[in-house]
Amino acid sequence: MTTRSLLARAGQAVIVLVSVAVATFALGRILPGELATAVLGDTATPEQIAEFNRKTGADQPAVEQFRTWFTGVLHGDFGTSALTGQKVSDALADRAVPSLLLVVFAEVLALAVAVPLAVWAAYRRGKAPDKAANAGSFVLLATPQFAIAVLLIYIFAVQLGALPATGYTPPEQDPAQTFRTLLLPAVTLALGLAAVYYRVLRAGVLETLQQDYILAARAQGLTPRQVLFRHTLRPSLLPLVTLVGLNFGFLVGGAVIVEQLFAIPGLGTYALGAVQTKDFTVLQGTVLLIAAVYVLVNLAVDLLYGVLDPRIRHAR
Amino acid sequence: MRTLPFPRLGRGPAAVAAVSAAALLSSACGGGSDAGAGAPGGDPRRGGTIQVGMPFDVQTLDPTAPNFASAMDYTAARAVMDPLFAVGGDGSLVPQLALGATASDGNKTFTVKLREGVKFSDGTPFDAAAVAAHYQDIKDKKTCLGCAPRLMSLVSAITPADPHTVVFTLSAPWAQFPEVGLTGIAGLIPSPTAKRSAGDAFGRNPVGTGAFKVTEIVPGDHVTLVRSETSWLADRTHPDKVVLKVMLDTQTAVQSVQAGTIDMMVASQPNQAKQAKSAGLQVQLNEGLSPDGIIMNMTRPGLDDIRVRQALSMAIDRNAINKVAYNGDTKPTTAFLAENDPEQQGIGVPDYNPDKAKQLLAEYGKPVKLELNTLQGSNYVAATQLIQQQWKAVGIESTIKTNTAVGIMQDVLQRNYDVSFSPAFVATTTVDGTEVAFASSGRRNLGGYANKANDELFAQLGAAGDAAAALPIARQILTNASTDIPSIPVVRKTGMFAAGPKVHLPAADAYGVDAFSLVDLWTTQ
Repeated sequence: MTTRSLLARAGQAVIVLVSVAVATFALGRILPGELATAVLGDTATPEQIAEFNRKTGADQPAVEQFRTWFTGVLHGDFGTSALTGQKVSDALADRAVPSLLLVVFAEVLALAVAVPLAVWAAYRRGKAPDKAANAGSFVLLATPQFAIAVLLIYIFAVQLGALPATGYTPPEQDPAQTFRTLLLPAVTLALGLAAVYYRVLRAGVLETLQQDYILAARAQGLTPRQVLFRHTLRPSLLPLVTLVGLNFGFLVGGAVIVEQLFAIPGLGTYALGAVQTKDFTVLQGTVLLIAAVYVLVNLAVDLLYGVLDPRIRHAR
Repeated sequence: MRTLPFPRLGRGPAAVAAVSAAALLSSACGGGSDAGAGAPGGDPRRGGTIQVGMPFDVQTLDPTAPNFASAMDYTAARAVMDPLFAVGGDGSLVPQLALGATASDGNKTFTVKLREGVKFSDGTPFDAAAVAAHYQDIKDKKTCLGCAPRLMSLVSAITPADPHTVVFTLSAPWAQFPEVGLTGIAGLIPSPTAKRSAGDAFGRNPVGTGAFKVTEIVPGDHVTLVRSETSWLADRTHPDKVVLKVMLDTQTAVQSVQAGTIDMMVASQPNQAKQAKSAGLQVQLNEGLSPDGIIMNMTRPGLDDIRVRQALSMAIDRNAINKVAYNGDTKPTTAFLAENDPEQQGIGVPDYNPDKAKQLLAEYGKPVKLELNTLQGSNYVAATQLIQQQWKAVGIESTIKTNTAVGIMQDVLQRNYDVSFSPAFVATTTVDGTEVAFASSGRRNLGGYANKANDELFAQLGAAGDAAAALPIARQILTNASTDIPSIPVVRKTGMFAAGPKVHLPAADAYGVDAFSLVDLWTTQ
């Protein structure tokens, strides 16, 4: 990717983020329910509501409110939750770490399983290993996350006592315990992801194996391992990389079920709580952060395209 | 003149005008108990850390804040702050920071004698000035949703007579003032110095006289409490530390107790009780403070017609809901208070009668379409889905909207709802406490219910000097409410405590109505 195209993508990212900021801010004003009533209760006096609105800036015109909030965001201040009194930037910092660690962990586990399995199954297409892997992926796709979670907790925490059933330990307290607390939730997420990744990559590998240059490589006497991992895998990875990028952005804020089952204080439950309590300041900050993760990850995915396929790099 | 503490009117615990979910769990009064099955024996031990899974997140530990709403908030705040009086398992008032109270002037003046030598954990003294400052704060702010509205309207003066005596002067008689005003959420006394200093942040930095101090609040994750060595309760407080962990999923919370990841868990629904018992855990099922049921926005078309409200109640098969949604662990009910309460006996909203419901709807003659709000959680959703089916069977269409406890509260407060299936929707166990819901100006009259006769009866109830005089008035109030149907009781639900073998749970009846007491827990680890 050239410097010029990189700058263009960065510019697009900024536009996306500002648009998201405007949209989430407007959404908070469109949804029914006044924040002052929600926080102070229905018997609050007009004076109390006026004082609340003055303190929160809700008495200002919407454009001025947005300007104040967005200026704060640019300086790292996402405002304060009207319900809990907690600074949103502090909460986001606390919540983003377990979410990011969980998703990275899950993605790594999923790819570690899916990539070699998909390549192997495609190479052994129609044989018993391929059929077994296909059946396994269907079972995982059809099994709800909560069932996987309960089963994993029962085996590894209740019966074997090898891992904590629930909870989260921040890495600054005990990195080893962080790993232990995130292992079961990461596996829960990863099993579903791995099944999808396996199917996508297997299809990509099968298609690539039909290409003439693979036939040429085989004719040159290359070993199956060389054919598969040097000439087949790389061009087959493009759809998978796209999917991984999209899933990463989604799961950072969307792993709500796993967060609730394993009592992990992540962004998903934080955002869900904000929606349900109409805590708009929290909602705006969380959505903006998740959007930023989406944009950054997809920018990285675009860069990776160029690495994986030189034709894309040169076309730009 | 009468002197307190004294037994309350009727049976059961005294009124605690608590906010819904807080009341739901903090109210563990009498009930089935398998405590002791795997409990440690011997004398209580001092020390150790107890981790407790709680089914709600923490919002604020300031009881006078309007968003003080969850069992997590109440349990933590109750550990940090003490009430003037607690409520014993038999419903009697138990002296805490107050030693006693004397009523005079026809129940218009209450002189409360305070415990001496008590200090807040910030080192400032607990005295009459602190009590006066707290109640004045409640009156001035008017944001305490868990406080009885009469505290704001009837208490005209709070005067420290001496450092350990405070006098409450009321503008009208209110015989039940000590039970309603000096217990529960309103009765939790914060340090006025800390409250002034922290301002709006007091909910994150609470200071009281309680057995514990807060060392850490991490919303979404946990609240850490450590024993306060300067507390007047320090000698009888066993654990060094208690960690209240947010665990929204009951199933994995039980598994966490089994695995030893946490020591005990609290649930607002008993559906994991059988699993916990079969796993050898100690289990207590505790009858809730008030029934789960449906509150109605009577300003909405259809709901303003008594025939529709009767039909809604008659369409509900409470036995089926108990069996299917609650595994048979609840008591189907049509009563606002406990069925065997003398005030309630024989009184209730119309029970299951689908044919009559169809007839009433035919008389009404218009289609009825409602949005049915419900709390997240398998029991609530399952119960609501059944109600939706049962209503559909008689011709009432409804859609379901699920939400958190706080979200439901906000919708209801803003009248942004049709009907809402809520836990502990009356949130009281006495008729006096129902004033918040059944009086025209009641703070938790959230559906626009108005009956002048009841308003007058509540005034008479306040002036009644003794239980005998109050009983017929109380029964008439409940009769009126059961006829008007501003809300529909469905099941009286049980909360659940489950603990591993290292934690000693006190007997169920030792909890009293307003305390899931962390003081009484102890552990062998």
